[in-house]
This record gives sequence, structure tokens and C-alpha cells, in this order.
Amino acid sequence: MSRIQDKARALIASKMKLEEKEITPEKHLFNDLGADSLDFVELSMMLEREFNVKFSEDEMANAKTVGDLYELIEKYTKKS
Amino acid sequence: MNRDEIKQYLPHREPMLLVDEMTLDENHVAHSKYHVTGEEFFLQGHFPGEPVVPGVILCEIMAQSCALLMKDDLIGKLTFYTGIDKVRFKNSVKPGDTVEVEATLTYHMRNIYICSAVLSVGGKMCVKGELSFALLPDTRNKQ
Repeated sequence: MSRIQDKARALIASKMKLEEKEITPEKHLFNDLGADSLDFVELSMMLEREFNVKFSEDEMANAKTVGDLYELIEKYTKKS
Repeated sequence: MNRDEIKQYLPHREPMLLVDEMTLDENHVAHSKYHVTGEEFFLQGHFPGEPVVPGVILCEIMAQSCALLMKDDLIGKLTFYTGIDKVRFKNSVKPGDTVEVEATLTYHMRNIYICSAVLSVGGKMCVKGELSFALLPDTRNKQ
């Protein structure tokens, strides 16, 4: 697991008040982690601040799993 | 923007329209005022002989003040609270006070808006907090 994924996992766990071990790539943000739409937007804001990136709303809205988020963050951090 | 102009954007009406005037400055900070006359319904019984504006009403004043930050998206929509975070009440608000709110948009994605707001009287902070809202279609005229 990359450093980026480590950091993202810690943030997701903190936001969702879960153990880091529960945050695995296949987990669905809404169905498995219990996020609601506000959690999702707050998570997006936290990740953008942590990684100093600005996601496209469409791409972010299409992220359904933890793995999708990792991919998106890695894509955007490579851009910057 | 006076009360009549505010009504073009906010669906709230008396006795729950809790902003008298609003402006948006060049830094996209919303400023609003509301004068507590002492005749408001929420002061009846809160508290007998010691009227104090309830904290939830102060949160509602802050929420309505945030509306200006999303006014371009408000037409045909209703604003619903989705969360209130980090709210702190520092001083009480009483009849005769003119409440002033400063609000900024912290983050926006799709129909969710996250704002921070500070409510004060005479320069003294009374409440601060982070408020979030969802804009949902206003279906009232379609039924």
C-alpha cells in the first residue's frame, strides 16, 4: 500500500469513526462504511485539503468504493 | 437586500423569516442583520420574565443568512439543514438586540453546501458554527 493510500485510509477511518483495518479498497463508501451524502462531501473536502488537489465533481461523484478514492487521489497527485 | 428582496430567494415567511437585510461583499462574505423586537413568538415562555432568544433560533438565523451564499442556485429549490457542527454559544441574545451574522461558503459539491457563520451583537460574538445544507427541488407548486 502506498503512502498516499495510507494517509487516505487514515482520513477515511477518522471521518467515518471506524478502525483503519476496516477501510479496504473493495468497501463501498455508502453501503459498507455507512457514509451519507454529507459524509461524502466532507470526505471529499478533507481529501482535497490533505493532498492539496481539487477533484472534478463528476469524477468524485463516480467514486463508489475506497479503491475508487485511492485511484482518484493518485491520479490527481500525479497531475500536480 | 431588504425583506421583500430576500423573499425572492428564501422560501421562509413570517414568523420564521429571520433576516431583515443582507449583503454579499466582494470577498463573497454574506452579512445579514435581524432586529429582535421582543414580540417574537419564540420569546413567549423562553423564559417568563427573562426573554432570551433560543439557541436553535440563533442557528436558524445563521442558516437563513447563509442562503445568500447559494442564491444563484436557490431558485426552484428548498434549503434543508444536513448538519450543524462545532456550534458554540458564547453570549445570549435579548429583546432590543440587533443580531449581525457573517457567513462564508467553505465547500460546495453538487447540491451540498458547507458554510461557517458567526453571529454577534454589537461586535460581541454570541454564536459560531459550521452549517451544512442540501438544496432539494421545491415541489410545492407541482402538487
